[in-house]
Amino acid sequence: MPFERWLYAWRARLQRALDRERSERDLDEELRSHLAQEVEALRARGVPAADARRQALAALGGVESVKESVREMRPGASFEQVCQDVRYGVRLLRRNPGLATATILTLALGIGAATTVFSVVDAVLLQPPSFAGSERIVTVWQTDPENGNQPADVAPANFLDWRDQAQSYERLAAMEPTSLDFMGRDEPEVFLASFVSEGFFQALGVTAAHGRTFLPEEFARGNRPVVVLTDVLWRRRFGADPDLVGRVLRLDAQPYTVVGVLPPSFRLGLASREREAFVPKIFAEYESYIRASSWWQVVGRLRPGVTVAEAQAEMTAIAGRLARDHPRTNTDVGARVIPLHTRQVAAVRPALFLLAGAVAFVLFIACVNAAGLMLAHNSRRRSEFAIRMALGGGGTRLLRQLITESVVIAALGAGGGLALAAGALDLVVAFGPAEVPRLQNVTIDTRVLGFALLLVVVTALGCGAAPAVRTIREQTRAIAHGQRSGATLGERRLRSGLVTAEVAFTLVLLVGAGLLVQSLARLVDVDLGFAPENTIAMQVVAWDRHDDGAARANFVRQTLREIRGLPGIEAAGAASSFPLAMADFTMESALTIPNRPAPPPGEESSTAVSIATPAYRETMRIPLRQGRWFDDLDDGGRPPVAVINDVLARQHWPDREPLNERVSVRYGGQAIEAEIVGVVGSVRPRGFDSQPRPELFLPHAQVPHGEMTYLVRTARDPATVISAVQQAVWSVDPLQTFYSVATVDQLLRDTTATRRFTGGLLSLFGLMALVLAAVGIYGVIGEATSRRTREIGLRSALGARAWEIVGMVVGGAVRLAVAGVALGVIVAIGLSRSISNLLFDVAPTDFATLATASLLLLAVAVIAASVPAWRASRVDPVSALRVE
Amino acid sequence: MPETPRTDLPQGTLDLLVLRVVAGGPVHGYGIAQRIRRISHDVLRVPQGSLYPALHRLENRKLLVAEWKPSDTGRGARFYRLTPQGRARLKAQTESWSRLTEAVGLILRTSGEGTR
Repeated sequence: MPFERWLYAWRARLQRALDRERSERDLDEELRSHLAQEVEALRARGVPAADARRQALAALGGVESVKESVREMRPGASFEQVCQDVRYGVRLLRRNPGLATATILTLALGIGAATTVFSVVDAVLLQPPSFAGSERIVTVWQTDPENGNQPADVAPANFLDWRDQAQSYERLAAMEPTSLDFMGRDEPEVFLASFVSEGFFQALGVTAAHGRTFLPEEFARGNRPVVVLTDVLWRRRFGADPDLVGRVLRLDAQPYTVVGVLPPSFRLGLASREREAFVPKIFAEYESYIRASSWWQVVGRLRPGVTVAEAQAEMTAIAGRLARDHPRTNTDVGARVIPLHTRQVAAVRPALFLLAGAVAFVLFIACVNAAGLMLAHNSRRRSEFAIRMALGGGGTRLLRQLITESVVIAALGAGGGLALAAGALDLVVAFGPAEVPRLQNVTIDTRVLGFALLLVVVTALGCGAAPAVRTIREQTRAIAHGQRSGATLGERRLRSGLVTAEVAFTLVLLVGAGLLVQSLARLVDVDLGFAPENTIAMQVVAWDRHDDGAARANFVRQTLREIRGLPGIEAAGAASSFPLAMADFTMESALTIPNRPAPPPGEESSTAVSIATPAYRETMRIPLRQGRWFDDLDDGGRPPVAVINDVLARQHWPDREPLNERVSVRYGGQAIEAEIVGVVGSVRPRGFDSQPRPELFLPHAQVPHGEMTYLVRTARDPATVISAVQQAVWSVDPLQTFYSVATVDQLLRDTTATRRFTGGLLSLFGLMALVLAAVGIYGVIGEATSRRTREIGLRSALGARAWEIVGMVVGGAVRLAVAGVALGVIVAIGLSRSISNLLFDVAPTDFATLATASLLLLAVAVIAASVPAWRASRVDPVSALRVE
Repeated sequence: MPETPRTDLPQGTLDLLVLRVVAGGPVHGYGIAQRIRRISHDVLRVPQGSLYPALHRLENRKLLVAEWKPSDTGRGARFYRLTPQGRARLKAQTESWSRLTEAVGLILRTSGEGTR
């Protein structure tokens, strides 16, 4: 059957070909007979034979022209023409491989870069989260003026009031971060987990891939503990065991029944580290009073027809009521409703927009270059067009052919571009920052292919149609005025204008890249207040396994001693809050100074409170400003002591030494009054771009906190001793888990990942633009020079020196570049505001950056012009003057 | 040859004229051109260049068929004749043309009276 169909198809095709040939023959014969009759009629009227034939032809209006019009009447004529044009276009390209390769490579670069960035933008910004009805999923945050009304975590009691009062949501649910120690077959491990309140999975529209999510009764006290795992954890730790659902796992020394596994697509994307396990939140009585501390996150599903703005209005009203009812904690505390997707991409949106803008510039520059190359190509074919039009080829027909040719070139360029993008995407997925949600999902899919197709159309029209229209118009005029062939003045002006624009856009890209790279350099140059090299940070939660304070103090002391005993360890200490910590254990407390009058309400001061061991300062290499740091004698048997950092010291003792002063802070619901024994330097708590904060340290032996970050300074590469350090801790308690382990260098790199990614890509785009601009300048200057060969020959015959001719050619390039640079500086300054929030310590109109980029472009223009200039200086006057 | 003022053929009427001429019996392209010129007393200018595309268009639409036959001068020519569809089309178009010209004439006459 398929064979018969195939045979039939071929017969039909053959038939069409035969038909076409016969109708061609018929047409030829028909017109010939028409002419013969006309000639006879004319001769019968006495017109001489030679004149009769001419008159008959004139009356008909050109045999080929009539034939062409008749052919266009045939069914399928336009398709046939397109095929013809494509074949012709490919033949032309093969005859002119250098030009074709240059054009196609140029477009491949532009389309490749654009497609890569589009794939990322599409996957990250444009595609909604993979939840059912995701446009109705929102996050709700608490805001307060103290942190600039930025959306922040929610206090438990506030969430409970929101949930009881708000009408906008089908479901409103809270997540409370927690961790579950898993004592399994191999090494003990911490699962990052969340307590989730009833309706959490319904709010997200998620159902389990295996088993189920939670039942309503599982949120009541006294039920057997249950857990839902993510697909990632199920695969990583349990080898995708299909029988896991229904089994019991020992988590935090409790038997938890696994009731379900979430689908692979489940990803909340609200933090850089995803939660791996979920357990039902069972509310405690006291939580309905907590309004001063906020650590919950809230998600909701809007009722159908309720807009985000309506939900926001309702939340603002509720927050206002809460502020009236609880003035001590809730004054000025607001609520903010943000769609889940918006919140997920908030951190990366500016960078991605910047990259999309930059890549649009690169694409534009590539198109301009390709258009320039096409113009050059067309002007060399002037005589061909002239002959075709003289033979009756219509303008539209020629135009169509030129556009088809540029579509062929653009399609080849897009093919190369897609190949380029496929390679680039692998790199992006491998090296892209973890902060970017859904980056792992980036692939070349139908949407991306559609985008590439759109680019083909746009670039073909952009780089093909404009030159084609231009060429045809010039051609018509040339025929009318009998001009000779060669690039016309209009064409040259157009090309110069395009190159000027190209230089301008390149300058803008270079300035942007320069600003980002400088920001990054200045950022990583910032003094952190401690020495990050060769250090491991390891977070340990010791509350559950060491529930007595003395036991915790002992555990920390003992484990640190074991670690110090390892080879290659220089120092080891621990603190409750560590800069860059993966899980932030920072505690905030009100600070009072007992022998001073209490400040008026609303002007109480607060401080970060950190608990540290004696070796912490030395391990971190935090400088000591005054007095002393803790030592081994500062334990429970001695009066309480405190060390403050210089920010806190300046705040409260601006003109005297704070040593021996007494301060009071709250810890664990109790007041601790201590004597200040020392002042240390301050650290940047969130990495390079964070500001030092007031901080007060208490010794761990006196305040045996349970969440500690161990810092271990090593003599050699810290990554190599990580497992030895873990073993040392297990030698004290084999079931102790680690919340996270990483080198401090790695943690620092993570804080700059998005900046490095953006800066790197923008630099790459800037470089591409620079190369393309150089090619563009070379093309224009090269052609101008070869056109002026006669003039140059004449000049040197009249005594011009070689360097004068070089100067003349290079001067032309410099004039182009200067015009482009001037335009580019204006555009760059105009756009500077859009980039300012990505910069650090650099003004968006930084003079040095603008000047460097301008000089670089001028230098490139000179280099690009040097080859034609050198050629021009060697023009032999005699042979040049003999041309034509 | 005395010069008479000539009118360009209104758009779309060439098909109608061709059908009308061919309705008189099989005729070749040159003959059609001559006959249109003669019938219209040299008033209508039919560019010969547009005649052949029109003929082939009508043939593609199956309103005409063509075959090779010897002409009066003895050499072969392509002769066109109407198909039944062509005849129906001619009738319909002639009627609508008459209605149109009558209506236009009526309007021109009545508004001429109004200005008087």
